[in-house]
Amino acid sequence: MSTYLKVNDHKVMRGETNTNYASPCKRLTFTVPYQYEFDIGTTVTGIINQNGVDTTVFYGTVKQVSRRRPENVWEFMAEDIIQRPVEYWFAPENIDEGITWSNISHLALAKSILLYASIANEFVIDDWTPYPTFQFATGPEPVKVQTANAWDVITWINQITGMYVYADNSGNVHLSRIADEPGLVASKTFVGGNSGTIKQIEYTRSDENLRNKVVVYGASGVQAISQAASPYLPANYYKTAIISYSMIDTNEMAAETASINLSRMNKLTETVILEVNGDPSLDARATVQITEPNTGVSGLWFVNQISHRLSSDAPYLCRLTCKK
Amino acid sequence: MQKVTVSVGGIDYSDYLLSYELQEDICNVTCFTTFRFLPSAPLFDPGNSVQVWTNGTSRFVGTIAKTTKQWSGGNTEYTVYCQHRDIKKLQDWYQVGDLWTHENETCSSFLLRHVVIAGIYAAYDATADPIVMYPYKWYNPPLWEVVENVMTFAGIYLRPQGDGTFTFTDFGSGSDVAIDAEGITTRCNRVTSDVSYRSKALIYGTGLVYSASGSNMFPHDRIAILANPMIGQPGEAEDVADRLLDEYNRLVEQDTITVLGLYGANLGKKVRVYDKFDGYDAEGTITEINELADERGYRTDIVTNARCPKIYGFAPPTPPTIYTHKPMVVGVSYERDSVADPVNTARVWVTPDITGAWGVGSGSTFHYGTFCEWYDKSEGLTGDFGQLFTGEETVSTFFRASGIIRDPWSTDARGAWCCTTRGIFYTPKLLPPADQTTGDWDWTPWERIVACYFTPTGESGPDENLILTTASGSGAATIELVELKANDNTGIYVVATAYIASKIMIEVLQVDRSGNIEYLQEYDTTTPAVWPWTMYITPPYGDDKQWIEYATQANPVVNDEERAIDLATGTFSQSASPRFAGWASPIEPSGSDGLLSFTTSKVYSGVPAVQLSTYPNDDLGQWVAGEHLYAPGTLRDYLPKRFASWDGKHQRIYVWARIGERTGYTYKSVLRSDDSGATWSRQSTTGSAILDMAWHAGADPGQGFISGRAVANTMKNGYLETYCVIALPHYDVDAVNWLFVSSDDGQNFWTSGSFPNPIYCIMDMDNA
Repeated sequence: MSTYLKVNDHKVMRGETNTNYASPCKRLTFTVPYQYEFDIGTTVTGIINQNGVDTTVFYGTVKQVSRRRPENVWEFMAEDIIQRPVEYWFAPENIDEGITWSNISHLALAKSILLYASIANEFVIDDWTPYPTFQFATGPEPVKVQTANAWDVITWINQITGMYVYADNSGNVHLSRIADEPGLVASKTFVGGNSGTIKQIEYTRSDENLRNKVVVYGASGVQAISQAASPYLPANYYKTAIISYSMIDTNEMAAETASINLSRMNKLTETVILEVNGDPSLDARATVQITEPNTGVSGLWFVNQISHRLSSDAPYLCRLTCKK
Repeated sequence: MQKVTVSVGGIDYSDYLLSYELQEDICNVTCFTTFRFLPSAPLFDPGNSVQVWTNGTSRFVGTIAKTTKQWSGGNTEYTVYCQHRDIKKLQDWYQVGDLWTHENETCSSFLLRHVVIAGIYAAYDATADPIVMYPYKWYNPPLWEVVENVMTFAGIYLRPQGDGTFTFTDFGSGSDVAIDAEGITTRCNRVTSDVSYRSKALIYGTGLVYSASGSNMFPHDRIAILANPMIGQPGEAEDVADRLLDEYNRLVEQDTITVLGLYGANLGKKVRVYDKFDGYDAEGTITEINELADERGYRTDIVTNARCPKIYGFAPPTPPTIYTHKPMVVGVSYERDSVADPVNTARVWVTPDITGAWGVGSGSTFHYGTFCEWYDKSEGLTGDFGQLFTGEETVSTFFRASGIIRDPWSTDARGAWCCTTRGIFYTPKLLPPADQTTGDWDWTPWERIVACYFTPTGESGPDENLILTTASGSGAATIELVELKANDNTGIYVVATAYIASKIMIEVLQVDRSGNIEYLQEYDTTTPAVWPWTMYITPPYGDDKQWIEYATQANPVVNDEERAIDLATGTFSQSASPRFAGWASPIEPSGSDGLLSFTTSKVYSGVPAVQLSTYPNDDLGQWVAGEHLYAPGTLRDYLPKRFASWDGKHQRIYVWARIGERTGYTYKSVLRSDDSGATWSRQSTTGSAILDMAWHAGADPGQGFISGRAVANTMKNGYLETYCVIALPHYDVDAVNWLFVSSDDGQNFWTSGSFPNPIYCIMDMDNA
């Protein structure tokens, strides 16, 4: 049976969703012969129908409208709700005072930041273990934001606490523990070779992002260092990452931040890019099993990035970028 | 005439030039060129001066900033990147010492005074310069930082000049005039976006803050922040905030327009792209320019209305009409014409009487009312209209039908047509009634239409409007309308070829710069026909009145030789089975003065044997002997890819075709030519297969034909040169099959002798 993408019940000529764990927004682009009801700000839902079964793969709003000639088609680009904090700037009229928070947990602070960007009542707090809850500004110094982008502030919190914020395909915003490595159980299995389902694969290893020492600077006098040996670096040689935020106001918080980030960074960068037959249930953040004899890739992998590409004149394919 | 000339260090290196690209951008203040040179060119050092002339006028003077040597796939090239001379000086200068404003100094005074530090003598062409700067001092600043700061504050941008200087200007300046160059738009892309939408402006000045709000389409404010120490008075802050909101408190509507053969587009000038037939109307100010000359010709991308603080607040005056997406001749009758409204398909529009807006033909020259008024004649339509143009279908792109239908016995243009989702609608009568609005239309579904056309770069176009087939009745006719556009600003070449029953008519038409179509020549033959071989060559350096040169006329001699294809090897051989009819020894083309002529001793005597399959159904399972099975809307997919490469010495030409069989067979093969296209071999059974064809034994495939022709240009030795490859395979009775390929220099053409039926092969000079 056929597979197609429909956006607000309109079958599209071409469509592609892109989700990247490292980027804030999920994006949908689609091409249709008419404008229909789509315009800037239109809420859109993308659904892939495969073998008669509908799977929602996108929920967001139209951000860009293109009309192409001589093809005479309309192309739309939509992003999910996370684009709101990306676009929102804290710009207080009294730049010296800024906006402040005191004695606030990192989850509450994140929700407050997102609330400024008009995201409210759509939060899902995911499993936070084993990370601790961070409590900011317990002393006299508040958390202060002057001129800054709301998403930048969320990124600061992410880096300090190991939090990760994303929107699901229903528009709910998740505050979750950062988990950019494979879990214990795979949701999908891909096998290479002549009889396999993998159409293309590329495997890369590098030490580009390896850091075996993390130095954290916080408010005045607050500091922590976490380091470990790496089998990929000479003995007693340290590639260092520095994290510096005045929001880190205790040595304990600084130590946790150093520990969390060292565990994430002290490893090789291993990526697998593969193209497989389309499957609408595939999404970023999943864990997949890959076995491909030519490249030697095997084991469990974390789906860091995925695109679904559908076209009326080409087969439905998914392109995944996975990491260890 | 040489279109692009480049000198390095005062020495002309045009002969080594493979491509030239110029990019200018108001917002990012960029002006640079990128050249690709043959490997035999010297490895130019950064710092060398570069000058470029286009169309005889100095377009760019700059300095080499980077030279790169590349190797890829056996080809070696140099890439040279150059920056505009004075902009590079400005951006490279780091001021050791302080810069400060004088008391009551205006922006123009400040800018002109400080660029001199870097040895730049710029012009100032802004219409108003009322802004007195707040006293301020910069400590050891990069000069560019200071200048850009002041430009942003004052709403001034840089307009690079072709002599290496630049001008400080604004959109209120009197230097902006319409570009009066004739351009042919080939692509328009309008993007509407909220990417730079801002609902609030917040200004931080020296000791002050000012905010202003505009309308807001979002649940939260999106803020434009401008912090500038030169703003010292509340009134200035308010003025800047208002201008920021004026610029950013709206959605972006940005157009990208590709214009062929446009020289001398300048930043800040106003353009309008207008297409009356579907309401496309884009106007604005040029904010980005990208000129590119390479093997595909000379083309210019123009981006209008990009948002930038350097241009905020200055609403341009009403722009003039500059680039009209030529509506062409939608359909022409000597009395009236009519088309359906692409937006509101229930409507039909007509032109006024010829005595109104239409030009009157005289002699061999006709003028068509491409810009005449159209009237809504929707009301009262009955009969055929109600049946033909239903509410279900979309009438589209008929404005691109840039040919006309003519009958071979009259010099008057006849007929009218437009394209819909169902097919092509037309007035079939050679002498249509005076009033076409009352009906008498007929149509041919897409399934029956073989359509092809080629863009100026030799690429295949959509399947939408260029071949019209009527295959029944006493007026049985196959009318082919092929549009060829010149890429050297000489206008559009329109070729209309009609095959009407036992007669053949060839017309070669040209559209001049004003959009007038001029009749060139016509051949009228009778059966047993002299089947036409038609070669259209765009003159390499066409001036306004250069004509398409062409050759036609072949005198076929009956020859009983028949050939068959061995699908196992992809070769052709003599065969007792009349599976395929080919050609005997061809005679080389001859001619002089650019007029080529050909003769041959071979003629089709067997049953034609070529059909297209539906794509992408590779199983070819849809074939039925003796019928045409052109899938609607998919014919463009048959058009073959063309590959060519330039290794500095040889132009390599590959023409690929995929061969398949009809129902019951699954074998497919790819044929590839050698460098000259003279010999062919079977390449593989998969891979870059492009064209589905089937050899079809025995049965009469019916009427119709396939033809392909392309004119491609290549930039070699600094010249835009033209190559031409043509295949005219006809599988009607007595049809001919042949392929022409050009020599390296494009001056000679050969037939592809050992490949008796290339079927449908086109090439261009892609650096694949």
